[in-house]
Amino acid sequence: MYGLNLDWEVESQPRSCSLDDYKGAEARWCPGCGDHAVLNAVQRLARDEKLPTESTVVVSGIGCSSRFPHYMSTYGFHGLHGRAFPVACGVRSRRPDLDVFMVTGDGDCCAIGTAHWIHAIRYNMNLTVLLLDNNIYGLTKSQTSPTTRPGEKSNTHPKGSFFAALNPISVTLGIPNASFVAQTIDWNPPHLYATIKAAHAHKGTSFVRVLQRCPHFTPHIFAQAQDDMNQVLMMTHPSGITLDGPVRKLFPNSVEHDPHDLAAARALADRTDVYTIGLFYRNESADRYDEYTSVGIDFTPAQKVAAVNRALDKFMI
Amino acid sequence: MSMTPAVLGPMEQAGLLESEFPLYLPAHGEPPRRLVDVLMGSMPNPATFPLLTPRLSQVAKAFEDAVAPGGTPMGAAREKALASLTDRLQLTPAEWQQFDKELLRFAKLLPREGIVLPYHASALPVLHGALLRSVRKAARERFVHEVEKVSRRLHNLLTVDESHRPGASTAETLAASLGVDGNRYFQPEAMAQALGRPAKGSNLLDGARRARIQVAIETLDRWLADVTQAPQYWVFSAGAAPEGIEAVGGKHRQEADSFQAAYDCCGHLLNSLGRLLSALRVAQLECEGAYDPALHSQHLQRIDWQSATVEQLCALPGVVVLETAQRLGNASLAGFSRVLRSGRPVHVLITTAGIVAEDGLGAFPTDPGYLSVAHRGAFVLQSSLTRTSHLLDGLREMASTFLPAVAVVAVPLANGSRRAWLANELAVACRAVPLFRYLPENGHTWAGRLAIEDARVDALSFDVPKGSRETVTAAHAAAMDLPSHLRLVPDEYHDRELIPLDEYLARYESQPPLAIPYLWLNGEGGKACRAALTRELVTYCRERAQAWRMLQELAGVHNQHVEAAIASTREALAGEAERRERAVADQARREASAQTVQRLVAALMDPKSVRVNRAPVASLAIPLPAPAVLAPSAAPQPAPAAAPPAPAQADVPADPYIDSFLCTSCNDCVKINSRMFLYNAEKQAYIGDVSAGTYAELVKAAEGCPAKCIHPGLPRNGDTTATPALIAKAAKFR
Repeated sequence: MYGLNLDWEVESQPRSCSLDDYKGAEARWCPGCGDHAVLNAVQRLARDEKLPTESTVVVSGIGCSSRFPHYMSTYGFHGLHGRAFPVACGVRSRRPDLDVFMVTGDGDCCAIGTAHWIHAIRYNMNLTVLLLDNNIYGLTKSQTSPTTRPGEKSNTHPKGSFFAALNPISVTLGIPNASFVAQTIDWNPPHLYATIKAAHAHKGTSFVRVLQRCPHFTPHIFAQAQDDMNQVLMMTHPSGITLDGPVRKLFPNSVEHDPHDLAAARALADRTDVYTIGLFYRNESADRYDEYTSVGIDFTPAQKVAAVNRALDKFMI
Repeated sequence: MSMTPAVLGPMEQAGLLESEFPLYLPAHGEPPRRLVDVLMGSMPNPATFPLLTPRLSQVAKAFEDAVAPGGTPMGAAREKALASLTDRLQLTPAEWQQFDKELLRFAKLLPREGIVLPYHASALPVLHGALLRSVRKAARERFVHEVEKVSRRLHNLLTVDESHRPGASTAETLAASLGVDGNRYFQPEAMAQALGRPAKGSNLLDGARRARIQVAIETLDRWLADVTQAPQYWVFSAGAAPEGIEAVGGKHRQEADSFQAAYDCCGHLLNSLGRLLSALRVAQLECEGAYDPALHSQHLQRIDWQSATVEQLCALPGVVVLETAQRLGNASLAGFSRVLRSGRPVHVLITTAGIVAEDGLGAFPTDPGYLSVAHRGAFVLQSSLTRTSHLLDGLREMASTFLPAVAVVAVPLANGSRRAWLANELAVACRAVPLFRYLPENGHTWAGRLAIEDARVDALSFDVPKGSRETVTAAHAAAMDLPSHLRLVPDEYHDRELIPLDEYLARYESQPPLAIPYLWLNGEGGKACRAALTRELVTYCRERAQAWRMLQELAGVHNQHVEAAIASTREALAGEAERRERAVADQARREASAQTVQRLVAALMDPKSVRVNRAPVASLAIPLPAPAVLAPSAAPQPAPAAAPPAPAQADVPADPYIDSFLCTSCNDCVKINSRMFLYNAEKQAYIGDVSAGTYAELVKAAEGCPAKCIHPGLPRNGDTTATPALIAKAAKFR
């Protein structure tokens, strides 16, 4: 086997990181799109945490947001529609040394990928999941998505959607073994950055829903909240996501919420009068499936054969 | 004389005298359990063991007799105990046949590992060692693993550096790196020649850095070698090795001055930990290539064990001193005090004989618990082997603290017989050996730091023969071990000067009575008889009661000042309530009399009218204040509100600016004018060249900005796009 050369694994000289080190192709999202903000936040986080590009992976499905891996200079996997979760879990389960980010959209995660979403949250592998939710299928030019609100017009529902919208936060909080559930907005970069940073630091699947504007198809959805921060409710707690300094003053509404209180988290997630942002729930002691799947990956072929033989020997009569 | 206090009967009936021993200590750090529970729990269905189930207590007794003082492994104890059952049980031959079958099945169900501990002084160091191991083992393994990892990374650094040096690329090393089948496709010799190390541009470690790495590796590896050889904990004592500690990872060292030896040993371990931490930090910095001698050298030299985390301290072997209260009082107080003041994590286990000092009641006994608390900075536990749950909780807390720690534990003097257990339990029940914990890190008040546990307050008094009632005192506990301090009183002897001990002690508070106290014993053949107490024993009783009272005061249960303040406040409140009541009564009386007078006057003035208007009565009782008339001049009219100041045009920043930290990098403004709007190093927008664009573009960008962070300011002179309508539109972004 090639590849196991210490020379490639050990760095004897320090590495310096800048934002340019993480920039991939020129981002082709529309001007004004909220995805730019998320991309910039992730790149800044990677620079600040000095994430090695060669051991960081960004996985995505299909959609506007899923173009994300192209714009990062790390490894990337632009997968099938709705199948970002299985790919990310697969990467994580056999390469626990890699830092895995997963970017998905409301159509990718909450429609075609729902089954994978539910089970990936249950598995609680160490992933940083960003759900960029703009309430519309943007890449295919405006179709109703599961999170589109009733009354919103689209190509598939010209007279307005008539289904109740799915709330991804409530759904995730209802899945057993969820360990980190947060929500943030794209139009406040400090909060966005702080949320993604906390999500990345968490060991386990950290699910972050980013309320994201689509300036082209749904510019009006979050327009009021952009103008009036009174429509945003920030959850604060020492063990949650905290902002300080002048940014804190931009949020006139806040509520103290202990992220270990699941019942309170569910009640807050169900509120429809405000956009609640911050950390809903955190459970550091939830079981992680990747801790089991990665056992034995450092075995040599001889050790693997020996282990299989040992297991088979148990059935010897 | 093998008499026992009569209170034991009712205490037994109340179920207060059940021993937890023998204890079963599981192998993998789980908490100890009662052996009887383990035996019971081993049977999935007790109904399938019809002969064994009712005889479980006898089986447990067989276990108890089969184990050595310091504990016996479960396997050996099981063999011996089950074999000895033949002599203990009375069964018919048919029953024996059945019983043997049950026993055979039962033996297979019992746990195979673990230790069975009897009630004996030797159980204390074993229990302490087991808890020390279970609390610290995981953290210790984690830290050792981390040190190994860092050491391996340093070794790798050196290996890579070696491989970059001239002559490092040989055919052999290349062949090894090519893998199993590599030689089929490449010729290592030719490759070695072609590569010709050092390759251009490879950076070799400089001499100083290499030396630093080598020193760090040496320190790490030496520490790793030491820690893998070291036992889980060292036990220092002046006497012979305590039994059974090897089974839980302990190692004994006999030293004449055990405190000094433990102090030195702990100091040595802490110093080596300090050196390790320093080397570990150097190693971590070197691995990241971030070591800067100018910045780090000086600070890293100052690292010592005080900067260690709890996990790192867990990696040290425990240092334990085993001492008896008597020896401590006679010989080793200075060393003991030095250890407690040092702040080093040395554990001291002091065994006391419960109520009776080895030298009898001649003088007040040394109180090692109080002595330790007086040092203020040490964790102190006082407990008894008979109170297993309190003892185990305390020992577990002790194992997780890294302060000097003392455990004073009442243990049986010689053998662990039932009588010895009862004597110790009585000493705890009468509070002669108070149970408490002193936690120096628990706040700043005595009440917060000292947690005393009252042993069964409600169960201290019992009915004894002849219709009398007795409270358990230190004298009852002493009656078990010091019969010479009791004189039997013949039944027929009656004297006014012979009074019960309770009454004697109660009367002593006000006036020491001229009488002889007695208590009830179970005499020969179970017959109750009275026993008079010697003066020493009574004095001892009073001293122990006083000691308990003082301990309570220390723990904040009683406080003379608080009690006095409460009493005076209560008195003041009572007085106040009484005054208020009297005022209300007076008022009611005044009203009633005024009403009566008015009714009388009305009746006298107008015989037809007996109706009385209540309103004047009320005004009679509570005179209304005259309506206040305010002079117009006294209340000046508020000045007319000033007109709101016209918005000062000068306050608005004339130059455009962007709150860059709020920019979402959405490219919107950059698309409008890529010279006017630029990105900074964070890829967030700022105003570049204002003259490169128009005011209209500025306002358009501000309107489109999702974060509303562009402030267009005022138009520049000569900007023709700045119509009044546009300026008005821009006003809301300023």
